[in-house]
Amino acid sequence: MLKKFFELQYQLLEKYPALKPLKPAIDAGDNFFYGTAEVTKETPHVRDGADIKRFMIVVLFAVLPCAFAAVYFYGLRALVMILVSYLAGGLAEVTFCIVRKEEVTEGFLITGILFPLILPPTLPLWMLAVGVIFGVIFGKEVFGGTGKNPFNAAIVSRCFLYLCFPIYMASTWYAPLGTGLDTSNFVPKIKGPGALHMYTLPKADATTQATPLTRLQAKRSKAAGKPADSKEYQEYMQYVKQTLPSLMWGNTEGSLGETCGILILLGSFFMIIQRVANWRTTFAMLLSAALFSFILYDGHTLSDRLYITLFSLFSGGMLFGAVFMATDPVTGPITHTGRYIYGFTIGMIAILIRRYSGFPEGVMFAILLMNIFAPLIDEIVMKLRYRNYRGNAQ
Amino acid sequence: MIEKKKSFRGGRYFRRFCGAPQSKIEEFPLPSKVVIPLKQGYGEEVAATVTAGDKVKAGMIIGENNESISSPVHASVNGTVKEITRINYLGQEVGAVVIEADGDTQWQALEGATQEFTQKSAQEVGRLLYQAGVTALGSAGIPTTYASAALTPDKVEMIVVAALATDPLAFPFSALILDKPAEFVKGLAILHHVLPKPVHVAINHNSMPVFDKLEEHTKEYDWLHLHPVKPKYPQEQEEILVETLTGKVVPDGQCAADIGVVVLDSNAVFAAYEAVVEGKPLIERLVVLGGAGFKENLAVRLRVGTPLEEVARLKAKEEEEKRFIFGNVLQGLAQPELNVPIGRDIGAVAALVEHRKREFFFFMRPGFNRDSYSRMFVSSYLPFFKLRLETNLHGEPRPCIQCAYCADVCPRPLYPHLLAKYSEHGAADEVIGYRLMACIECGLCSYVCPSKIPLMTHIQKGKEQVRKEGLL
Repeated sequence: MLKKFFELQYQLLEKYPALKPLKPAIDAGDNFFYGTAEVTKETPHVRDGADIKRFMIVVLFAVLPCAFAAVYFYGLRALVMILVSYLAGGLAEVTFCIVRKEEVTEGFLITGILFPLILPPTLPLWMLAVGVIFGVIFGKEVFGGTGKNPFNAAIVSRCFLYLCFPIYMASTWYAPLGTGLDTSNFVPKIKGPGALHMYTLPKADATTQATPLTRLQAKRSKAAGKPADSKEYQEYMQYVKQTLPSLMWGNTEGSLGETCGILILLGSFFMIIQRVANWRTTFAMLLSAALFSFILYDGHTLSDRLYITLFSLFSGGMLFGAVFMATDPVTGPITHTGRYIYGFTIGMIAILIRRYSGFPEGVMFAILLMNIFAPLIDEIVMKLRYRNYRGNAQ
Repeated sequence: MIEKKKSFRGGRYFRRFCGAPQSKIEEFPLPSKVVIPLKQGYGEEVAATVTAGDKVKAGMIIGENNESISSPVHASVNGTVKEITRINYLGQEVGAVVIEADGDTQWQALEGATQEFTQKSAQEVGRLLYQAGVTALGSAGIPTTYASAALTPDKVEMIVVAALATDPLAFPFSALILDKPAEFVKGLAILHHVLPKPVHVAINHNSMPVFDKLEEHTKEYDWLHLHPVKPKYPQEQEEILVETLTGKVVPDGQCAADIGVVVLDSNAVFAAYEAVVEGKPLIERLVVLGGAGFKENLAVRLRVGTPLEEVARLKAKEEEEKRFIFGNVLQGLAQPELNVPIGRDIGAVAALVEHRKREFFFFMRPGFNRDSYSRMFVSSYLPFFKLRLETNLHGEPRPCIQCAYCADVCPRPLYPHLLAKYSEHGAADEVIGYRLMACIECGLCSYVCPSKIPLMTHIQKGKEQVRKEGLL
């Protein structure tokens, strides 16, 4: 029955040659539902069973728990945001493919869902659409489409929105509803299954202007230089220890998908075990973030520093960026050694931006910055590796 | 003595495939006619010494050329020469002698064959090998004083024997050796007698009984080294094998013969034994039939020159559309015409089913019997099912996403995505410094690519461009 639907579309194409430009869109639908009938034309005569659609679906499945958590904490509006992102971005992508006369590739399946999850829950939908269209056009299509973009399209969109609409992006956060996975001592504001049964969070809930990171920043600057037994320092450490569980379980303020640390780590494990995301980037980034927050954030005892390190790792976009953004294969380096270096520098730059600059959130800029250097890192690694073979060809 | 060696970086294990042959050997019935190409194995085309209408005996030399680097070609059946024609054999146009068989299975022995080959001189034994045609086997032939190989006997440094196969439809050669250990060792001793250099043999490390058996027979031979190796594809390719066993690196663009290494397989060793001890010329050989297109997957002993259509008629399934391949499925040549002969240098014929079906939600299926380098299918976690081996492309061609799967599996190791990108756009000369010429064309990069990019084809084009332009 489904086959007849596609056959009908192809017949319409034959009958009305004016519709020919729409072929990429029809092909996309057809190839989504049915595998290919093509056989290999040259050696090797057999091919691996994996294809790009499967690759992207694995990433999608890894992100889905975070998307469900977003709907649970922030209401059905999160779902609408994801849909708007797919529609707007999909339209831009299909338009470009039609103009270029190429097939629609599956890269957008991932950008479409990752992008809303790094935005605050109250962002107006039209801003989201503008952002995603900007990201698809200027972050991907002008460079040649999927596979040729040097910058991560979702991060480009977020950066654009951050600079164009700073109030909406940086100072409207919501305390989420529902206890999430943590049932220890968080008292739910409204009874029921989180926010699953509502569209937006109630206006009566005060729009706070802070995320855990900004609060930490405020408390840390007050406690800077004070001895261990002073009131400001005690307040600072108490805040860190108290908020740590909610950072892991997700019932804290933040962007849509970044809050639940445990789900992000599960998604990471899922992707790494299937060789879809490289463990080297994630591992190096988290390691260097931990190392630099241990060194740079002040704490008077070893255990205090460890708490601060954990806080730093689980807050903001650090985990989400390490697991889903930095491991994007197109924008990262291709050599394994290069991936270690890339991940390490992203973590370092993110912590430096958080600690020493006016921005509370550094991961986004760090990833963009290192995206520029990824090809250079690759070239250096390869030239070093082949230094004994230069001119050895016979 | 037995020495374990570390495996090479990259490569891939191919296990549990449908159509993998069992360790069974059958005699194939005598064909009604054979086609003997005049260029089989290493060497140049020889001139036919018979004409149409001559009566020939199996084992008689029907083509030889003592001036060029070549080995003689023999009639493999008793009968009459029908005609001398030209055919397309393994991508080249060569002359061929067509013989109609008369059903007699006797063959004519070489003179001078004996059990006590150590009494004879190296030159005598070399003569026996040359006249049996065994010197054409191996990637560069077996050097004798008769100009039969890419290098002369004084340039030989060592002999390497790859007694294992690692492609998806590999035949367990160690079972063959376990069956006839004395003959195998005598074959090695014959080769050592002709070329008195160290001999290294690589055998699958999973078959320890073979090593015990061989140790009994080879205690006093200090020139013989047995190496258990991991059966990772492409271990048996000469560049990888030489580097794993001896540490010597074959320079980019050259072959093992250029550094003095003679590379052979277990078939050549058994053939050497038969030639020198029994006097049997190379008129018969073991051919492995693999793939789901055959009714039964095993090895058959058939006469050299048997047409492929005979094998297909008797052994292949009729109802499916098949693709016949000479060689292994990752590197071999497809044979669309069935009247080609199976020469003495073809060790495997694979029949793959052309799978042109469009499956519903192909990419979402759990994949209990699909093989993949990325562990995205259930088959990697539940190793209980046989994996499919078919010619379907398994996905649409897409742009490169730089996942680096190809770089993970490259055995040299190289960066195939980079080399292919440059070669595709005609800039192959810029990547010679990235070891473009070191590619051994094993096919693993194209195999694992999820974007279905024909990486190996692009790299081959790049290497062609470099060779044509003379390495700018």
